[in-house]
Amino acid sequence: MLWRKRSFHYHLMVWPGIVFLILFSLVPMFYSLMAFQDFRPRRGITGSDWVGFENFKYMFELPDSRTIFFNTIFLAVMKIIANLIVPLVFALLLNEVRVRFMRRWIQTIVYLPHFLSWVLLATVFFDVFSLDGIMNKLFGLFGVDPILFYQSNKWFPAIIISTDVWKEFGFGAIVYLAALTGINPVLYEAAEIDGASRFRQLIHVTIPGVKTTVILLATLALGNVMNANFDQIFNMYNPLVYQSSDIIDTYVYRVGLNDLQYSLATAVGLLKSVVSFVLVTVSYVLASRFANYRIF
Amino acid sequence: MVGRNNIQNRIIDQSILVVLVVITLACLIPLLHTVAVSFSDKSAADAGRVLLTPIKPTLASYSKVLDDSLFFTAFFISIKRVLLGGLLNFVITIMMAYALSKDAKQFPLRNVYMWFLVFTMMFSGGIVPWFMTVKSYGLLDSIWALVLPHAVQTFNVILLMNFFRNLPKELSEAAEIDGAGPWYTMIRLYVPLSLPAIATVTLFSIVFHWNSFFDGLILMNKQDHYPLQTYIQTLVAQLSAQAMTAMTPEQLAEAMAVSNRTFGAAKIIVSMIPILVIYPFLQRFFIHGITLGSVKE
Amino acid sequence: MANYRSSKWMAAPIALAVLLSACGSGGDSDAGDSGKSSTSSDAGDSGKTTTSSDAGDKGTTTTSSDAKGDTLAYEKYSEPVSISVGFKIPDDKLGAGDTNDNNPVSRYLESISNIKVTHAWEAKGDDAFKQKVNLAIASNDLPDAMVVDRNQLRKLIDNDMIEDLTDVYAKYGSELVRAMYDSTQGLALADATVDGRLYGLPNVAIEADAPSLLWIRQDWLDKLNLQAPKTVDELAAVAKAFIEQDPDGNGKKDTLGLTGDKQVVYGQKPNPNGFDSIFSSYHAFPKNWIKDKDGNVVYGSITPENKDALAKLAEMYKGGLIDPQFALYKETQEPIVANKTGMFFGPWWMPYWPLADAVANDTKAEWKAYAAPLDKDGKFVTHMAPVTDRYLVVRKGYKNPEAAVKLLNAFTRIERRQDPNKDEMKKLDDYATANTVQNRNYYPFDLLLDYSDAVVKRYKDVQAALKGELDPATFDPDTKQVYDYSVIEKENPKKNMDAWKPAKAYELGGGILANTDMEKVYSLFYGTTKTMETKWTSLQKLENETFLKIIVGDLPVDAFDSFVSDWKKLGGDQITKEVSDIVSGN
Repeated sequence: MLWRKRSFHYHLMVWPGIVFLILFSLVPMFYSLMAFQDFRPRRGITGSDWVGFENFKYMFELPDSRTIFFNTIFLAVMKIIANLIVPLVFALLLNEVRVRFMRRWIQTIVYLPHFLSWVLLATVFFDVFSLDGIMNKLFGLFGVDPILFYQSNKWFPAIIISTDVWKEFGFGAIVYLAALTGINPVLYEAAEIDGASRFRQLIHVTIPGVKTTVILLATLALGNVMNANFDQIFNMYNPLVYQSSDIIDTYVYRVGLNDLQYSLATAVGLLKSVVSFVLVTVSYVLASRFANYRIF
Repeated sequence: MVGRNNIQNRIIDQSILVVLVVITLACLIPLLHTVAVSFSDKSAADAGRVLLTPIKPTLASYSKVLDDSLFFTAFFISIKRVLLGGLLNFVITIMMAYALSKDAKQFPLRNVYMWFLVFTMMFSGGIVPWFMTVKSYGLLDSIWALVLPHAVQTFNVILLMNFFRNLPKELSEAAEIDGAGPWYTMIRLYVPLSLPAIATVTLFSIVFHWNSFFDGLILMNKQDHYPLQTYIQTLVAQLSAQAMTAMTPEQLAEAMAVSNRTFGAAKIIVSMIPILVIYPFLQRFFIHGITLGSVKE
Repeated sequence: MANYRSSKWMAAPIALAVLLSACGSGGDSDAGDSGKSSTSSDAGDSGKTTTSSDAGDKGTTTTSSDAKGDTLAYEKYSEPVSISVGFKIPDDKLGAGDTNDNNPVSRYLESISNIKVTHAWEAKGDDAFKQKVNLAIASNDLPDAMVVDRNQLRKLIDNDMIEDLTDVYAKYGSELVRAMYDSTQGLALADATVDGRLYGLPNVAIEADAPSLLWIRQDWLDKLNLQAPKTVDELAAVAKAFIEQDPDGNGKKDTLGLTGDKQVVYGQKPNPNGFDSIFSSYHAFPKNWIKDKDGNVVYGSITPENKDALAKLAEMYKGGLIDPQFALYKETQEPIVANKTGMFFGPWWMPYWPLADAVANDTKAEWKAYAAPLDKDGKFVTHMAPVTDRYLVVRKGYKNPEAAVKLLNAFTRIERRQDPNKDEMKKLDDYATANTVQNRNYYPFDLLLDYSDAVVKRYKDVQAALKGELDPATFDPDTKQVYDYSVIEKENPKKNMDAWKPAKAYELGGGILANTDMEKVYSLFYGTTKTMETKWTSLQKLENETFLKIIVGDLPVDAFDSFVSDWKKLGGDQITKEVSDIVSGN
């Protein structure tokens, strides 16, 4: 009988994945209860003493917390903004290129970095930004004294943001390019007949054509506000620039794994999760209310 | 009139092209530099003299990579991981995406499942709880520890689900009237129509598995069980000063001697190869796939 | 000597903060050294007698031959016993077919003990190893035995996760192991003892590892007609000359002054490039607990003397006399190995590394060590290191805790070259040479023991033998090896780098240590207090960042004052009180 119902089969299709999620995402939440405990390994989660919100309170007393929350949000937001604008500009430029094979070549190359891991890229960039690296040689052409990029709290966040943009802008442009191809050619033709210059066409036809996409992507990015990219920072930072680039995830890693403060680390991680979840929910509501778009 | 406009247009076109070429070069240069270093003479590279062309070209670093049996062990573990993980992702992603692409009327509880997915994507208890979980299943030190926890790629599911949603409703309705069951509709109708999107999410999952390093570091107990990125990460990881204090002079000397630029560069290049090989094949798919999946116009 | 409070563990206050050691040419052992070298003798089972050959130790040598103790210590199990351990993977490449857990060293140890060592996990690199241990602790899944650091030991004891080894050690500890622990006057074991019970078997650090010497290119000095610097100002002048006068003669201005490390100071056991000795020449002892002139316990990083040292370093950095890129190197030795610098600080063993690499790259290099800079009274001042920093522990509930002790006995005997099975030892040595591996990296535990005064003693013995005053045949195997290498190096300088390393380390590094009057400052406390547990990490962070930033000019020197008040406010005062209580025994 059940077999006949279509919805039964939908359940069947979903459940293997759900089982994995329960095993590997929900069960860890049980262990995360240690955030509310004075966790003792030998006594386990069930036997350790409950301390309520002690760990959270302690977290807010730490001078580090403000720094890491600030760094996380700052870096993430800067990345979000840069990764909205740079790909858009790039896509607008590329859209003007009429030579097909140039278009293809450029696309192939700029998409590539997206697929390379930060483990590898960190090594590559360490070289690029070293004292005798390409970047300093380039700056040297303009008479700038060599800069110690990696030890400067002024430069390092810029490096984090720009290398992230370097890696992702091409790939991010795909969505814009698609939106641009979606613009009705008739609009351009009409504009041309009216004698509109290319710049005016850009302002009056192209930009309005991608406006929705930009707004939508911005909304979707809200869920990433607490996510400054562990892989990148973990592989690139050093103690000198903790002040400007230590983020929640790297902090949780160090405190939990190097300093044996599991409960504290877990509490910080949990707090991040809660905030992120709220943000995603907000972006869901915003997108569906204003763009009439259902993210999921 | 027309002529001037044309000239103006040509100038604009040319300058746009120049800008784009510069941008493209900026993407390539760091990678070209690494290639150049990998083919260069060791002392020239260590002295930082290599820019974009190899100095005193040599294959020495590559032959050294070939000698490193651990590198190849790790390489094949990564291949294995990609195959197992990619396949598992493939099956689960399609099934979940298809079912969830139905609306709540056709599939009660659909929204509950969906929010559960999003919840699990956003919530994590951090490293220690996660480690304890994987350990409690007895998966430590096994390839499955790298594969099973990532069986559901929520982001890919959402992407493909949106693609499915955008397919004309009439298709599945017609199939239903013909008496086709959900499985048949999914496999025979939806999958063939969604090849670009499926190729895209498959590429994502391959790249994800190939590029992950952190879980290998935490969950593997033996060095010869490390996947490639983990192996490379441990090579470049710097020794903490505190740890150095605990070493004897001889141990320190050995620890320090292993690093050098050309060898490292060669390893980076070799480990990029698989991505470089599959990337062009899938490129034409993902441009199409990601567009339709993420934004509905 | 050591003083333990019941509630606070691991307090090892050393009665005197400042010890003058007279290691002059006379070689008389001072009070602190008496009874130190109880020489082990395996007479009981091998018939081989090792005698101490340090003239200075006459009369203090206690030759014991507790045959019964050593019988148990080296006794082979009749039934196979298995023990799982956490293993630190070395960089060596073993011979074909051998693996980290099955190689000549492991097979030999198994054959003499009947203990099967399995690896619960392996980790490459020290951070990774530390993380594995921490994860093992967090998930309550310890291997049967492993080596942990001080914080981990504390955590394990607090959580009652490891065995009390007091009785096992008393029964099974070998004479050799005991003798080396005794050479620290009980400090080593005391460090792992709580309430009179021993929870871990510590390593024994060599005292000589603590002072940071000034290593300098003598050939550059000579070329530029300079004297070896004695004070900080002279040091700065030499650095300036090294940068500006092209000491390597390649016509390019590509040489650096003093190199440094982003750690700034190491505080206890220095590695290359720490500025420890500059601080101590100002009588500042960062990262150590000392007594101020009123006898109060203070943290060494916040005393006003630090500000003077920092001001000087900042001035040098600003003037380009310190390598501008010093805080950036992935590996601190890079400029040294590349022969870009002619001066840096480092302990006695620098010739082993990184100097061997530097000299291999440029055989003209003539390095020399100096005890410099001196303080304003012309004395070389140095902090000392804790006698131990790692501990072998056994999981609670493991049924053969003595197996860990027996393994320690066995590999310590190999390491100190006192294993009576000469043929097997020869095979191991040959294997090591053939594959260029270090056998010691394949002991189940990364825990080396030595006599704490070994370096100075060996230096003196070898020098005496080279002059013909002592017969090298009477040397213990370690000393004999240094002697042999020294002879090879003397005959063919810089031809065999394996000989150059020990020969120069002892001749230059050991020599300075043996022949310099040093003011040695011991930290009063190395452990962790209650408040440290939660606050220390951030305080350390604050300290390291402030010091580094002041030196590179990101902060003015006066920022030191606000650092001090911040440090006190953020828990420093509380911690100081706790340390003070422990030290004074309240």
